[in-house]
Amino acid sequence: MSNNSSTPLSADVVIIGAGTAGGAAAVKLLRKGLSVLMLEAGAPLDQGMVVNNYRNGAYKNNHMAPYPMMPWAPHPNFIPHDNGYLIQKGPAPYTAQYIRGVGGTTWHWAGQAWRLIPNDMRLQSLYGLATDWPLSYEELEPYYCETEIEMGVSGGGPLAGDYGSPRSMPYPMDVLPLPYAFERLRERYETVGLEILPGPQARNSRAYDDRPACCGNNNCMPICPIGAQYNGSMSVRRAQSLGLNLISNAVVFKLETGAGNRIEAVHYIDENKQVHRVIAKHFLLTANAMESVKILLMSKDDQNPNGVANANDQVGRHLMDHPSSAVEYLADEPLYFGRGPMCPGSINNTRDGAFRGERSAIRVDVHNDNPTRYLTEKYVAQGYYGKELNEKLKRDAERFVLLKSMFEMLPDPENRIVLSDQKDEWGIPKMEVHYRFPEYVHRGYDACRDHFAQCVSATGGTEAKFSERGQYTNSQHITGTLRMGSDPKHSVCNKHGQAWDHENLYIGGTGVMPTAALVNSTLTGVSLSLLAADSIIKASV
Amino acid sequence: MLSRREFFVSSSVGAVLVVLGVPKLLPRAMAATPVIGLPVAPAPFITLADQLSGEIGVDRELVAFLHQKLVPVLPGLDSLVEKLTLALPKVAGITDPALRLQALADEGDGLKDLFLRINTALYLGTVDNRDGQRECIGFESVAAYQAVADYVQPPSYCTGSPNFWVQPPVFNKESAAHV
Repeated sequence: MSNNSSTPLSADVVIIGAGTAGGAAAVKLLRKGLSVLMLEAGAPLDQGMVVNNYRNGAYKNNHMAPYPMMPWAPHPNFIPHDNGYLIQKGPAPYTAQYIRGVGGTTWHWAGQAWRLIPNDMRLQSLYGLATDWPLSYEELEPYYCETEIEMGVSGGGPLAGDYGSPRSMPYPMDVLPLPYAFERLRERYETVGLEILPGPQARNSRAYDDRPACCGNNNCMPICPIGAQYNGSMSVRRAQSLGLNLISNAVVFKLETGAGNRIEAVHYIDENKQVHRVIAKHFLLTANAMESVKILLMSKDDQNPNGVANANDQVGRHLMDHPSSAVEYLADEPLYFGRGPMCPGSINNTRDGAFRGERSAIRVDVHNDNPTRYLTEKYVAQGYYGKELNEKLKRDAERFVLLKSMFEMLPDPENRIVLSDQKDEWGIPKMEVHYRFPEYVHRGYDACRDHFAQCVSATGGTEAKFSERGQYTNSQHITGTLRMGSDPKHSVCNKHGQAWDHENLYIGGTGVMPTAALVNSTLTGVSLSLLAADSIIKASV
Repeated sequence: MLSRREFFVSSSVGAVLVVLGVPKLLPRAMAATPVIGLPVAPAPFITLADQLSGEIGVDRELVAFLHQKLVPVLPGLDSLVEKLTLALPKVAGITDPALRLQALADEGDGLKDLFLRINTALYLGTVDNRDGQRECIGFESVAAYQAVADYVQPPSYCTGSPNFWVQPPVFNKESAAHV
């Protein structure tokens, strides 16, 4: 590693991480007249290239596969085998998937753009659990509106209303209608008290932001081929049109502190192993809830022996996700899943109640993935072939149902990320992940298992296969590691996203969430990033 | 050169985008990369592929590509193909697929392995090379998607218009009555 001794780059604000949280914040800051420089560890990504990679890829069930991994910006990958980027310390696996590249992980999200409900932010007050957020739903609400406009969210409608999340303005677009299969299940699940609603989605129901309406390519994950689904690169592009200075292939490895413990500069290493220094008045960290932790923990100095923003050893703790269980079965009627967007509706009337004091609440996503490939793999391995296989495949694919739950993890300080002694090719430490599930989640599983059985029964289901208690998959909603709070001893930043230890360091994204709630976390993470950007704007006046 | 399907699909998506006034977003991605100048597979291999795929009209390019990929992996491939072709009628009457697989294993010569390899390639478009690395040799034309082509497109393709998914496929009533 060698130093580039030229004059350091500078800006009013340096943003670390070019995902949706950084991109949306950059747009906001630039519109207020601040100069912004953005550093992204990975490379720019091209939609056409990613679609080609998907179609030509051997592992189509691996959403990470189409995304090229640069040696200086490795990302976790578990198919066909664990690439060892995240070192699992257990006892439970934490198989995070995230993309290091311009646009970030929203390249392969499902586009579900849920707000929290007010009760999600008051777990301690209402249910005696975990912690309350340091800000109210009402304080966050304006930022939700901004995020929905930036992304282009369709939602609401007569069936769903506001989903229990009060709104000060309508959704930017009308809700996307549910596919036929969902309407059939909605009718039949109602008989057991489970209600399917069309969800809010960062997906166009009409032309919006120079992007087309969704036409049902059913490939939201790993890549929407037509750009009807929002991803972070769209905000980054908008920010570039407003004057953003984007530097990709720039791996930040140190935040440098100075007088008063202010952040003076960031240091990054490029693809040629040249080191650079960038100075700014304010710094916004939006490099995702794992990579941001790594940067802070690496930034040790005399003033900050535990790393930046980590005087109280809170950085990297309280790691959460939404553990997921599943049931698959064959319904007694053709439903034709695989037509339309992949996650357009879900069961939500299990999301809140007094039971939250005892066990996790539940959301159930009805998956609209085309099941053909999954069933084919199974049947071919079993020995089916020829006409028998073709007929079985057609019949079962038409009737196949997949339900996946989400459970609410509780913040546990022992669930955490720490730096490993192992290093990647660019000499940057890897991360060790410590993770365990609380009984609270297992009890949520038990309740969900009953719901799943009711769903199977209500639709005359056969060949039902339930996932096991304690065997949960990640939902890729990485949260909690940089949490905001009211007490510096138990949080990393305050309600403005400002690090307790450094007045000019702000943090955005899903890591800031003190509790994970029960919905896809991206909309909230971006809203928190916009809140932090607002704090920077106020501090710049 | 684009196949008829590739042309149709890319044209359809493009047409939708043009109508919506967003030509700058036309996708640059095309179908899974076609193979140019590939020799035709031997007739016995094609016959076996047709049998294994239930005469569904499996893509000849896919069959040729598969043969080319299997030759270095399975020495004596053509002889094995002949043996599997002869063995198939013997196991065809076994109704339990697991027992059928066992019967093929009992035939020896790696016939079960060949059976699974060819079916995987024809239906899923993947084949493991000599180093055990999986390769994609086909996508949108694989037999699995042919089997369901009357109601759903392969993921990433769409020949409908926005919201087409609200209605069941047009064959719905007939299909439900038949299967």
